[in-house]
Amino acid sequence: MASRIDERLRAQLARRASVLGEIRRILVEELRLPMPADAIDPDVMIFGTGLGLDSVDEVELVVLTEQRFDVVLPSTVMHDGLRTVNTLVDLVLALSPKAGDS
Amino acid sequence: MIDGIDVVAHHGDVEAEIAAVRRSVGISLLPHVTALRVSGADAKAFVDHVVAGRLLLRDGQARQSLLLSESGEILADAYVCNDDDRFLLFAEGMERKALLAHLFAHRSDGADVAIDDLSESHTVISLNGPFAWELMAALEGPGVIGFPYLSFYHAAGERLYLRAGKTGEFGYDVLLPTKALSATLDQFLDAGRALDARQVGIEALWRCGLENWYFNPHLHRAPGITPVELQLQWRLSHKKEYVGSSAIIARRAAGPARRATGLVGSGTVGVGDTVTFEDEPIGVVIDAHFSPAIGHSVAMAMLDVAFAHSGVDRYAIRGAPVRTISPPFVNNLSMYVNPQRDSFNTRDAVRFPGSARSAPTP
Repeated sequence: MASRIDERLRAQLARRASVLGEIRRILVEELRLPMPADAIDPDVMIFGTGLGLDSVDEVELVVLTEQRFDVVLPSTVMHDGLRTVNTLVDLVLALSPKAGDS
Repeated sequence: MIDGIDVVAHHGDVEAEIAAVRRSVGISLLPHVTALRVSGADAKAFVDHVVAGRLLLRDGQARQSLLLSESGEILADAYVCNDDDRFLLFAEGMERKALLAHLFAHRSDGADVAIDDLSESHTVISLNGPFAWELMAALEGPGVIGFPYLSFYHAAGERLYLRAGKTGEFGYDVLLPTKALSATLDQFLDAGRALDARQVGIEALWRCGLENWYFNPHLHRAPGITPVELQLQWRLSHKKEYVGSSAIIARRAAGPARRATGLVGSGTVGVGDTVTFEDEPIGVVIDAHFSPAIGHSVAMAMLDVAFAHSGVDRYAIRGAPVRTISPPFVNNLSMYVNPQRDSFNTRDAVRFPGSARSAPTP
């Protein structure tokens, strides 16, 4: 299946998967989320239901993400960028053109 | 018919019903939701075994979870509520008789577990919308405003109020005696007139549910599809054994072949449509509709996992481009409404940036 993917798409998907993997790592290793990294689905809600993080975790997640990807997340991040793991990946990729490059 | 029960699809104007859920309050009857009470000395152990999620609940708390088959496929979507050492289940996705048979089949011989079908005498009314709390407060008093998400309480008249919802807006499910249904509905409609509330059928609720990426047990299940493919692993315990847990662990270890992915398309997108990349099929649409909130079709597609990532604009349906995006597809007014400060009458002062989350143009 993957052999049908051309180089341009392969690079785009790999970059996204890399950022997703790093955010999963932060959630499991730094925020001590009690689940395997591959059980963190990309479109899962980060707060409340979903992963169940709270406002203290939010601060830590923002700081760790900013440090890891050398970005500054906007103050409105809670309403949009931090809704799901994938929306956070979107935000990182939009703010850092080199994020996820190997 | 849903799960063998007559359910109102719409009340004549689905777009207006969606608008009510998104801007004021929608009032819906959910007779297909089965309400069960599980009691007895072994009730907790039993529920812990048949429900896939963690059961660490204080009295008065609820949690969204799933009932699975031994093969890990989803049987029902369920809220589990801890009701003073008894448990309440609000389940949908399975005919009532089959649900009860499933539960009885997993009850150990000699276990002290009683299962009472409250649906024989009770029905669920659901209120959903950014001002649903205001309607609740008008009927139950201002104390309801501080009522946390996924909690419940018993009220007079054998009513139970569960703060829940599957639309992304404020939501309350009210379990009440069926004999009081008509009078209660009139009560909600009368009090809701000042809030532009209207009756909303299941079609509008499901469309709002897709816009917010809620699992729909009536549309999203398929043979071989488990919570791993549907991105519902957050509803599963990772520490206990439950019905279906072995299959889930094996599926996760093998890695899913497909994954549910959000799509936005400028053309018509329908259930069963094939998603292609350079004319080769890479997946199929399992839920779709036109979203008036963002002006495009929104869809959930099951894509080959190698392609199942957001932010790709090179896929197509019947030759028309679609874009994978990270759901939810919409902003919710409820996220911007503060019940301590706002009201329906002052709704224009709420600083809401609009329903479109980003620029989803395919």
